[in-house]
Parts: sequence; C-alpha cells; structure tokens
Amino acid sequence: MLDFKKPICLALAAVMLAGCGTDTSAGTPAATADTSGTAAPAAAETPAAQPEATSGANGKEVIVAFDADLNTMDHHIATDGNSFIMQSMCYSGLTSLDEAGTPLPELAKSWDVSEDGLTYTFHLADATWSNGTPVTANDFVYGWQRLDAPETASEYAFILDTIHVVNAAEVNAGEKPLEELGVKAVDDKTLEVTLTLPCDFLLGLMSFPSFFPLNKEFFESQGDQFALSPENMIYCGPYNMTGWEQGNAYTFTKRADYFNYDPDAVDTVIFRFQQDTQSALLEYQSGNIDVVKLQGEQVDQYKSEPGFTNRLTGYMWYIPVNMTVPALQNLNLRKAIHYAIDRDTIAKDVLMDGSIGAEGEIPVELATGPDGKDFRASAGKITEFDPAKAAEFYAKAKEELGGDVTLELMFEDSEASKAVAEFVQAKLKEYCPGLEINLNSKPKKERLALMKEQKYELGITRWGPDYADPQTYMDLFLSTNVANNQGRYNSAKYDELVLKGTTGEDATDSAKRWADFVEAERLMVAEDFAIIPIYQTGGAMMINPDVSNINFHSASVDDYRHIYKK
Amino acid sequence: MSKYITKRVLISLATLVVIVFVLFLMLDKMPGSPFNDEKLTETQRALLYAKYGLDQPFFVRFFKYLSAMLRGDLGVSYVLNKNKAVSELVRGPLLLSIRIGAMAMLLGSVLGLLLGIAAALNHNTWIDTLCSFISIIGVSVPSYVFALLLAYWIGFVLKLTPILYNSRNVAASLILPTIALAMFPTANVSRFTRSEMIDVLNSEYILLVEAKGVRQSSLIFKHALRNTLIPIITIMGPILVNLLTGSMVVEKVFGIPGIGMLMVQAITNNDYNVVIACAFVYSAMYIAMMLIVDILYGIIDPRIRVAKGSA
Repeated sequence: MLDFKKPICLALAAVMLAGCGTDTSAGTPAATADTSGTAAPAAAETPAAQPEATSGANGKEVIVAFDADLNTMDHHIATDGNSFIMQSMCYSGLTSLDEAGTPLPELAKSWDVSEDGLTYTFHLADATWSNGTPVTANDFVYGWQRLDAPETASEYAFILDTIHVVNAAEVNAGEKPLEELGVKAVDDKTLEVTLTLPCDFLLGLMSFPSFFPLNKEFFESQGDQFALSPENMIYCGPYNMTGWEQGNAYTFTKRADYFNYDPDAVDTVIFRFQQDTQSALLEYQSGNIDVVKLQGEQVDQYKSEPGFTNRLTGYMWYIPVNMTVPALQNLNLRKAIHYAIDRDTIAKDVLMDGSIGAEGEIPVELATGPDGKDFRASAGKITEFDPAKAAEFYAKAKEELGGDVTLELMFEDSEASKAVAEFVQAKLKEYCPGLEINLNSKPKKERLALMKEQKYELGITRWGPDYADPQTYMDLFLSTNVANNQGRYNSAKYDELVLKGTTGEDATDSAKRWADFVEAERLMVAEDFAIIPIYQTGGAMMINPDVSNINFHSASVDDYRHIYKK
Repeated sequence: MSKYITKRVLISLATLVVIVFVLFLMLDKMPGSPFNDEKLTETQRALLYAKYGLDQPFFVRFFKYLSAMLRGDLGVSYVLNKNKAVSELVRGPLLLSIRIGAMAMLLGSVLGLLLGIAAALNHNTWIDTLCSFISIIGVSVPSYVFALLLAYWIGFVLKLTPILYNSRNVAASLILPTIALAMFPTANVSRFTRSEMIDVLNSEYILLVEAKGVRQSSLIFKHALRNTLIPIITIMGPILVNLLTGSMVVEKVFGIPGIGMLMVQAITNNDYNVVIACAFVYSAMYIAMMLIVDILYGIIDPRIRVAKGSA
C-alpha cells in the first residue's frame, strides 16, 4: 500500500496547488469580462461626461470613505448628508462657505439687500452648465419652484418658508400657483428674492443644495430618469460626476470649464462607500484611502497618530423633561437631575468618540453672532455638574413631593445611547440618594413616536440643525410646536423671547435678536431646567496628512470642493 | 420523468408567490416606513405616500405589484438611488454576488474533494488528522472571522491583494472574499467526501476491483470517487444557503456592492421594493437550487422519482 501513497500524495498536492492556480487565473478572464459588466458603466461614462483634456491637470486623486451610501443626486429630493455632500461637488449655489462658515460669492458674483432686509438681488457670475449653456436666473427660479411644488413632495421644501420666502408655505400647500413664489428672474443674470421677514442666515443657506439651480430644458428632456446616473445629469459646479457604482464608489472629476476653476484642487475625488470601518481603516493604513471615519474605541487608539482629526457635528443630545409628569413639574427635582449629570465625563470616558460635554442647548460652532462671536461664547456655559447641589435639590424635592421618586429614562437601543443612559442612571442614584431610575430601551423610530406623544418621563433624544442659526433649536421648544416639543415645555416668557427674535420686533435687529436667543436659552436650561443638555456629538476621523482643505461645517454641508494634496 | 419535473416546477412557482405575499405582509406590518424622518411633516408624508401609491389598501398594492412583477417591473427604489427602477438597481449587485458565490462554490468543492480524498486514502494518519482539523476549523469558524483575518494578514500585512473591492481591479479584489466564502463549502465537502470515500473503499465491489488488478488511479477516480460523489449532491443545498447568508457579512467586510449588501442597506432604510426584490432573489436562488437537486436525485435514483411523482 505504501508504494502508491507517496505518489498520490504528491499528485494531490500538485493538483491542489494547480487548483489554487487555476482559480486565480480563472478569476482573471472572468474579471476582464466584469470590467465590461459591473464596472463598465462607470468606465463608459467617463469619456462622455468628461470635458476635453484638462489644461493644468495635476493627476491627483483623493479617496474618501463614507459609512452611509449615496441616496440620490437629485438635490430637490435629497435628505441625507452624504447625498448633499456629493451634490455640492458637481452643483454650486449662489454662495459658498469659507472655513469659518461665512458666505462667499459663488454663482452669484455679488448681491444687494434692500434696507428693510426683505429683498435680495443676486447678480450672477458668468458660469455655464456642463453642456455649455449659461447658468441663468431662470435656472434658480425653476429650481426653487420645483423644490416648493407639492407634486415634488420634497422633504426640504420647508426650508423656503424658514427663510421667509414670500408665499413659500402657500405654494407648498397647493393654495397658490408656483409663479407666486417670491423668487423672480429680473433678467438672465439678475435674481430677485423677496421675503416676508428679514433672515440673518439666508446668504449662508444659499450654499445648501436645496437652493441649487436646475436647468429646465435638460430636466424636462430626462423625464423620470433625471439624476439617476451621470448621463442623466448636467453640472454647474467645480466637478462632474463621472462614475456611479451604487453601493461602492462615486467618482467626481474636475471641470476645466468651471468659471471658478481651482488649478490646485485635486483632479479626482472618489467617495467610497464602506460600512465596515475596521477594513476601511486597514485600507487607510495601507495608503489606499485618504479620509476615513473612526468609531468607538478606534478613536482612543488613533488619537495621537498624525492625521487624526476631530470635527464637531451640530448634533446635540439632551433630555427634554416631560413636564406633563406630576413629579417632574417640581423644579427642585429637575434641578437635581441637571446638576447630577457629569457631561464632561460622559464625553471623555463613556463615549470616547470625540464628543464634548454640552455647555448649553445650542451646540458649539453652530452659529456666529453679529459680533462675530460663536453663540456659545456669547451665551457662556449654562450647564453645571455639582453633586453637592444635586443632593441638596433632591432633598428639597423629596420633602416637597412627600417621599422618594422613581423615574423612567427612555433611550434608543444604540450602543452610545445605552452607555450614556446607564451612566446617567448610576450617577443620579449616587448623587440623589433615594432617587430610583429605571431604564427603558426602545428602537429609535419607536422612541421618537413615544416621546412625541409624551409617553415617557425622562428620555434621551437629539436634534441636528437645518441651518447655521440658533433658531433651528429655539423653534423646537415653543409651546406651539407640537411635533418637536416632546416635553411640552410651556413658558410664555420663552415663547415671547423666541418669537420676538424670529418673527417679532427684534427680527430686523441682529444684535437684539441674538440677545433674545441667549436669554431664551438661559431661561429654558438654567432657570426652568426643562431641557437638560448632555453632549454634542463629535466626528473623529483620520485624514491623510498630505491632504488638506476639507472644510467641515457643523450646520451645513461639508466641503470637499477644494481639496489639496501634496 | 417529465410529469415529475413539471410538478416540482409548479410547486416551486407557487412557493415563490407565497414568499412575495409574506414579504409584502411583513413589510406592511413592520414599524416605520421609507418616509419616517423626524423632520417630515404629516402633509409631506401624505404627499409621498400618494406619490408612490402607498396610501392604497394592502391587497390593491399587492396585486398591482404582482402583476407588474410578471411584466418584469419591480417598482422604483424609495431610498437607495431614489426613483431608480429596482430591476436595474438589483442587476449589477446580483451578477457580482453570483459570480463570487460560484467561484467560492467551485473552489470549495474542488479543495474539499481533494482534502477528503487525501484524508480517506490516508485514513488514520497525520494527513487525515490535518484534513479533519482544516475541515473542523472551516465549519466552526464563521466566515466573517476568516474575512477579517484574510483582510488583515493577506491584504494589510503582506499586501498581496487589495482589502476593499475596487472596480478598477476586480479580479484581485475578489480573491479574498472568494477564499473567505469558500471555507465553509471546503470543510463540508471534505468531511462528507472523507466519510463516503472510506465507506466506499471498504465496500466489497472495491475489493473485487482491487482483486481484478485495476490500476490504483483508475480504482480511485473511476470506481470509488464516482460512487462517493452521488451523496455529496445532498449537501449542496445547505452549502448554498450558507453561501447566501455568509455573503452578506463577507460583502460588508470587503465592501463588495453585491446583493447581500444591497439587501442589508435596503432593510435599514425600509426601502420596501428593494427589500422585496432582494429577498425574492435569495428565495428564488434557493428554490432553484433545491429544484435542481430534486431533479438530479430523480435522474440518479429512479426510486425517488417514482415515489414522489406518484405521491
């Protein structure tokens, strides 16, 4: 028997090796076939969508990893951050934002604002669409009308009403025709926007994709295929979209004929969808990806490496105390909870993801006031952690309520929320001896629904800003806002201050308006203790040290339009 | 025979219709909708529901969907590549996944057979132990662990292949996922081949063949292996199921835009039509595989055909 075993083993080994070899080589022809299959659309699109050879092309490429996929390139129906970022690559707005979030001229080379602040006249630059036709004021009018039209069913149509464009709400409700929307083309290069009330943050919002123009002729020629692939789009921004591989990669190639051509910006930006951050990080370390997000423990692991960047997002997590619960109507109890929460420890030791403890309900770096200072700098730190005070106020509350209190803390079943809820529970018990906290974990959608109907006592929720102004938060807690005022905070004084600043007598005076908001926030957080801010979410990431000039905006769209690479 | 096949095919088709109905029902009863952003107003939601026909009664929607489906129209996506025809959205990922799955199946079967034969021929030697060890690891360690280990050692440390899928270099990017997915089929086929082969080698007809002085290679490949192969068909079904579920995880690790990743994305986003299409594709592949196995059985073993056909 031994005689034939050896040769067979050798033969088997050879066959196994050959098997491996065959498979690899079998992969190659198949792969070539694939290039004409999966990858071919992308490859085929390139010559069609790309303009003639670029003069001064630098051949540089930056690859950015995203952990959420592209949803749509149609800027009027988009709702998610990554779609907005990619739309901003290949479309431009009237303005663009600089690093600090200040609006700069883009498709509008200049503008005039009437003295009453109700009429904005934009003078357009000589920009062209990627098919060579000029970008005109009518393209903006058409785009805004489509955004507001009821049949578009855009989730962002509300933003026209937020900046008080004349008839925005009525048109969206179908009560008035599109033509009555307060946006007009005076001539090809002059756009006039009329408002019912002045808006301090209008110019900044003009860089937001919902306000981007739309070329009527092209749009109508595409029917229901508009923006479904690069061939169904034309562009008015610094890049053309040249590759769309759903679930994988989205390629943007610099336009040589863009009126505001930046010769130093990289030629190609690729957004790479990769859900698993672990393998994305390995790819970053191999030098194949330039920008990647960090999650959880990765932050701690990489925070001292070159390229580590922490940007703050505009998301604020807070507890809207349910004021319809009898026990929670006790001010001293709310005070005790406020003082028992150690926000900095939550950010640094519990979350460890670059988040920061909340100093108030309005996030840091959200909005800059008329004095050029950040809102938080003007309003100061109005949250406080003080175990002694917590114990003292709880003792008072206990006396007033006639005994110890048991409360339920609702949170969503994400890892971060769970960790925060457990920490808050432990500390409340520790600093308010006798206070009992039960945890209640729910899926996010269910938590939102329950909190909307006041079916909770304490709950951890968050809000992300729609625009760079405190108003995006202030509006939430008006007694009339049934959709968002989860705790039913009802303060006539708060309402008065906020309304004075948003639509009332101070709406036209930026400094007074700002002061109203500062006072309203203090009232709600540090006097009524109705809203208990916890933390502002951080976004830690690794950025290739050779790559620079990516501008993050916590209340607007992150800017990848002018990336430089060594 | 044709009667038997017709019957099997009809049962499969009926099963698929039931699957679509159950999917439809489950999505309908699931909390949330594709349009449940916290910032969406009730009016906006109503507009969106009306736009996509979601405001209609359940059965109206179901029969509309079913009749459209027969015409090859799977509706449009509500979230991922919003408004794109689902049939188009699914095609690319499906082809890619089938390709990786087929490669993994092929690699797994070939390696598994070789390992199994080697083990059986060297029964109770170190080769046998080694092969058993490999197959136990392959069965017990989940594919994402392999995926991560491969990504780290081969992709990152040795830099032999790319880690993430790259459409510029598809061949190289598919090596690691194929190997990761092939572990399970390799292990299963090898275990099965080993035990079948040992049985066959101990049978009397092999003794006869040996006594007749047939060459060893002819004995193994012509007589023993042939009879070993037949029962292996039985495990192809379970292996395929494992490939289908394993592909979701492996696709996520290597960033492959396949049908598994598309389905996971669609589920997280409540993208109804895409979920139904992906789940349908999975079911159809599984049922088709079962059908093929059943028919092959019938061809191989007339007893099954007769029993099932007349039942």
